[in-house]
Amino acid sequence: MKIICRKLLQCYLKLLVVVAVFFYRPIIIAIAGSTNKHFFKEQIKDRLVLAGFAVRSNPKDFNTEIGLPLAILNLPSGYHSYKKWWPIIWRAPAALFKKLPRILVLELGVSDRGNMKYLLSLVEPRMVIITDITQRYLEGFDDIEELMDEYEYLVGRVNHRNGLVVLNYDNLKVRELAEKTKAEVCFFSLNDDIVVKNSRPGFWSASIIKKEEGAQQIIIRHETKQQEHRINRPGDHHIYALLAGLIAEEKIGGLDHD
Amino acid sequence: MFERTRSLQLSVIKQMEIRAAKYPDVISLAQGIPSFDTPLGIKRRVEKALERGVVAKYSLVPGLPELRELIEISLAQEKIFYDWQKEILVTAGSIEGITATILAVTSPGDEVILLDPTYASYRELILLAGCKPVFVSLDESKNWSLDVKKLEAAITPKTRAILFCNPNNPTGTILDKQQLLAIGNLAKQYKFFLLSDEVYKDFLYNHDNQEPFFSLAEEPSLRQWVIRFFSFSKSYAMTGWRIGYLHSDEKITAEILKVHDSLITCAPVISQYAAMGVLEMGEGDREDFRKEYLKRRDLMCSRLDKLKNIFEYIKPTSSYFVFPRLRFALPNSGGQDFFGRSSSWNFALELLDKAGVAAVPGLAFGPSGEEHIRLSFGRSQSDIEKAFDRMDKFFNAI
Repeated sequence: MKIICRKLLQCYLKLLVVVAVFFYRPIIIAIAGSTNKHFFKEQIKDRLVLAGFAVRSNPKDFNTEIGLPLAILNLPSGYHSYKKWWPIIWRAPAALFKKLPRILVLELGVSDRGNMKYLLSLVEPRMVIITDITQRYLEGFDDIEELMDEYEYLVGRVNHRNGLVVLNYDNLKVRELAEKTKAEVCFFSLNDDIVVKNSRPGFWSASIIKKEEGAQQIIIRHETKQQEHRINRPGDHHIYALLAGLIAEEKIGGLDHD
Repeated sequence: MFERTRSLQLSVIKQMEIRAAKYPDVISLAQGIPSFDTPLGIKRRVEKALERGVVAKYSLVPGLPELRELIEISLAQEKIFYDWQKEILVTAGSIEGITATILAVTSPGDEVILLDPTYASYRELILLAGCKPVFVSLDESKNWSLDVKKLEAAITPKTRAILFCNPNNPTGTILDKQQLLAIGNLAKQYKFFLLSDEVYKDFLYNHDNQEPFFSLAEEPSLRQWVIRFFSFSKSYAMTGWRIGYLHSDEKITAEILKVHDSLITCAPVISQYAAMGVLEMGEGDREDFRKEYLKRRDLMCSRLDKLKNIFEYIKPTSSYFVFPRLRFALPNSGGQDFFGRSSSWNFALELLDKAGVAAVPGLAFGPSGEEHIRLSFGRSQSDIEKAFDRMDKFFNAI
């Protein structure tokens, strides 16, 4: 009974999402990977909002079959309560009359085979960012190759004419995804040599100048340019997130047309 | 033989529970256990993990990465910023984290300051580490506040840490930002660690006229000194799951991690999935619990008001404890107690034996706890009513 209810809810929300996305045509920025999706999402959203775009992202862990439609339609979750789900289901069609923002920054979470295919039946991302891929998150996958199939499917679906794939260069599995897409690819890295020695286009890198009281002073390099930034959070993942945010900010102009 | 454990004693709270278990009809207001069951959503999260077969193996020593990431996100909402990869450690309840920390940051012979009254088990684990607990009494006449000069006077070259529970168990009171920062300044000046146990931080009852709860972990300049502990036990009715976490600067966490590894390898993985359920969807349940505890606090205080010839108390603004003072002189303070006996221990025994109500004698919480008992309003409203009906009858009969 529970499974049937869940499937019905999934179909119902999918229908609403397909209509909303077709009608309002938002630019979808998809963030995928094993860890740190939340921090990337927040950083990208903040930078694009500062740049003057209307942006919305999925709240909390709304990144699965049910969660993603809720995030797109800006609806709350009823979690495990039938009582809480009823008013959400009842009011959901009203969400179609509220215009979607120009940009949706969405986490795409996968825990089983085929998850990505389903998520991409809801949305067609213009920009895809892969944070990292690790063995620790296999969950419903038999091995890392099975998990990789999901990400390969994702980057392979990005439009080669006006899409962008942004990859973590420091993670070998993520780096290899560049070969699975025909779209433009950008890399981010904490290895400065990539940019300093080669001045390669499409590469953004950062190095830490100073760490103090939980804050980090960093220098970011891209092609021949470099600039200092301060991040008031400890941890490398916040530097990676900032790099992805800077790439999104620079590239969004080129994507902001149909 | 038993050199290390000779000076230890089983927590008075647990002793009282063991005694109470012998009475078939006792109502226990002793142990700090929520009356609620773990919320349904959290249990479903665990069922899902069991079905997937992901709970049978050890996790990484510091805990599941996805859980630590959720913890960082949750901390950031409280303006507390720590790196989940290097600075957050999932523990088997907060007490395992505190034990690992004491073992990591002290050497035998060091002194650890305790604010008195304080949680009963702190003393034992300090002794277990071969250190000396030094009690600094809180001022009951000023809402159990801290006299910073008194604290400074207790600091010696052997002082390695101060361990405090905020909100405080047993008093249910809170050290405010000013007092905490004063402690922080002393820590920087005299170079000792600040061990802040904040397991009751989610149960605050004076939202409207109370300043927001402040943690020393919010203060970036104290990162080198603060180790903060949290447990899911109280906030989400999960005492049996034994799951919590600590966070500190990466250099300190790396040292604690070694002890944590040698003590338990990792926190129970099934409970780590339960904790993920909490952070993904437990917020509403926690607020429901808080509202219910507020009703129970008011009920317990109204019943205590009717016994004002027996007890006087400071209304708790947090946690789920009231710590009333017995309104008569005890022999230790130069007089006779209510039963002509010597301590809060005897009072609690009398209450258990004659009234069928279990409470924790105040001496369990340090020297300043004497002449008090701790009553928990973690129990249901009907249990609180029944317990006070029994106490009314008992005191009226004397």
